[in-house]
Amino acid sequence: MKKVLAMVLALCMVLTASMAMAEKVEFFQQKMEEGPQRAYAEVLARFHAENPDIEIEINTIPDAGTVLMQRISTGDIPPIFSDYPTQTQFKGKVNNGYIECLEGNEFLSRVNPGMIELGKHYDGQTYALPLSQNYMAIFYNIDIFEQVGIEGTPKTWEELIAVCDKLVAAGVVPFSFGDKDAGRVGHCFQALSQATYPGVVDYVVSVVNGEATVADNADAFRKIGERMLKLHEYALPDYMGTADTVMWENFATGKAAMCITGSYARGTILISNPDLNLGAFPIPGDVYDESPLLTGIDAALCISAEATEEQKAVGLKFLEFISRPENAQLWSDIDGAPSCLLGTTYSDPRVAPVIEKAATGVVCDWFGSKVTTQVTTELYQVVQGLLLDGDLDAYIEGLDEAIEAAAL
Amino acid sequence: MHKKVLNRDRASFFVITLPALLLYSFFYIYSVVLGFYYSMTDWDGLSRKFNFVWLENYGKILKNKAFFNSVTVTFRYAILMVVFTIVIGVLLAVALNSVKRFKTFFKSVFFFPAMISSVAVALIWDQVFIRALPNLAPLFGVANIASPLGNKQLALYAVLFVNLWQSLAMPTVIFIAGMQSIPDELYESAVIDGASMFDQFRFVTLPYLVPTITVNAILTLKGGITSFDYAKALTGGGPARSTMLIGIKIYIDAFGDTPKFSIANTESVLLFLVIALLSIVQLTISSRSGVNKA
Repeated sequence: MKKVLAMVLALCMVLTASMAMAEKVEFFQQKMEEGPQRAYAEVLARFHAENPDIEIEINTIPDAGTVLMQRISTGDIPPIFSDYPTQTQFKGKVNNGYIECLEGNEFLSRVNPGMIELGKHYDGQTYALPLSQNYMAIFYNIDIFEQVGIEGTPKTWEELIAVCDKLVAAGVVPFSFGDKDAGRVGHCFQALSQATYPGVVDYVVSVVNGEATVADNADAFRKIGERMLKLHEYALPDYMGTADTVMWENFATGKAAMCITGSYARGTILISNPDLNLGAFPIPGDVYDESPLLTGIDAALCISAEATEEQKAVGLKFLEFISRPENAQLWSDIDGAPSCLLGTTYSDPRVAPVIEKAATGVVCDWFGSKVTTQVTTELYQVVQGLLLDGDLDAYIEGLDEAIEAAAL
Repeated sequence: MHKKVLNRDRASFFVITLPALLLYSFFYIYSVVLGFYYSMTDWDGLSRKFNFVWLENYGKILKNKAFFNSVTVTFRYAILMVVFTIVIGVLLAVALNSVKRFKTFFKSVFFFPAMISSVAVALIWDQVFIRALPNLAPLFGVANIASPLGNKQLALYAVLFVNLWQSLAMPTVIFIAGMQSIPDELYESAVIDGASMFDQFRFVTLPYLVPTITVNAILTLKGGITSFDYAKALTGGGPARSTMLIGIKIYIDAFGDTPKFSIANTESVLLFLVIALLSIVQLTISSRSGVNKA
């Protein structure tokens, strides 16, 4: 009897141990694009090969930011997740104690110090490992440019319009836009507005604070609106009904010569057409030296402060692993965005104009680093309205109303 | 003895309904009460602490243009939904009821969309609008047919069309059931009196269908006002807020990157009150008409 009991107990222990070993640790990553999804999968495969006793499971879903917020508010925080440390929403999560402080971890020394500084919280501490840098740019088909006889890339607004006219004269559609999703309209608006009017975000902040109105500075905002409309004159038809995936697909398959999008789409575009001769240059303003490049920390990894000690240990191990130069390089190569990790290279000469611009230090961050999502979301809707109606007066009025509506 | 049996039966019934009552209380009544409570706080959905602000949120919302834009869009959508559902549903039911051969086949065809999930339907139609529609342009001799989802004037109708395509089956079935309860003698009498097909429909079918129309109208109105999935999957509320139904606004306010949970709850409470009021009004009006009413 004792033998049977001992065997049963032993069996229970083995089962319990194996169940504990097989426990999966969730990694909730917020990027739906194919490039980053593949990049994480590849790095994780390497991680599992090195750590066969640990299983990290990637969870990628649509509308990830909303779902993450919902999960946090209901106490179901993923142990490891990606987020955007310069955004106000992220700072809110840190303020409420949901994110583990990463200070003191050796792997942070592998990160570009500038990126560490950029991602720091108000208290001067680091809560997320910056993995990649994003930028908004005009991606272009180098082969089409060469066929049409365009040399170099435009550095000012006037040069850009001249390039568009040359493409049109050669029977090429200059731009592929996907404005069905207000968020994509917004990204284009953010980049173009900052290149056109470098102080735009601070001005929007002053409007949010009730210190000014958009109407007080109507000329500057009108100029941005006019340029949004101007670029759309050179677009493929039905841009308002076109989703972002179709926009990238149209560009990748040569239906248009250029596409204004973020570095987050580079990998996806190249997956659509691996043979595409893909270049990128900054969105130009009036004067090259004064027009900032919109850039920020893109993918950044963090650990839930409410995870178990075991989950936190797994999370830290994963962060240490992905921050190793060889793994960061692999991730960057597949994702298509420049890495924030030291010892990596972003050697594609075709995106040199963007890298050179970043090196000048004339850069700016996303609106979300200074204003709430409600404000940006409302602004995007107004800009979408402008693209539909072309009514600049209604757009100026709408921007003020949108900011007021977002103040709820 | 008789009273004892009665009490025992009552106790049995009570015990049988108790699980349903408890589940209903927890998932509906408790949630509604909690919603009212949070609508009077300043909780953003993220903070660990919050304050009680009484009716401050209601005051803010009733002055907010974005909220009223959503209310207008939602009511437009719901009213169109009711009108189209009743008109097309009744016509479809009459047509299907008069089919002599392959009746089951035709009914199955019209019922098929109801078997697919609403989000799946929306995503299928999204692709139809984006990819298939432009390819039809040569058939109509035009250069391009743009997706209605990108047009501020048409987007709401496009969402409505997809919603109707999927959800019309159920009201139609209810109408068919209503028609089958109409005594054949009435039609025979009408024919003898020289009534045309339209007269038969106007004076026999329609009065008998009033209770069914009422049921369908209430259900559709409620469905229209609380609609979320089709617009969210097809347009996300755009372009330029033209399909920003109140359901989508509540969702964004509650679970957006910078959530405002108490505001979303306040909007939900107002929506709840509006639906309750409309249901009472509609039930009162419709209960005064119909074939068996005074």
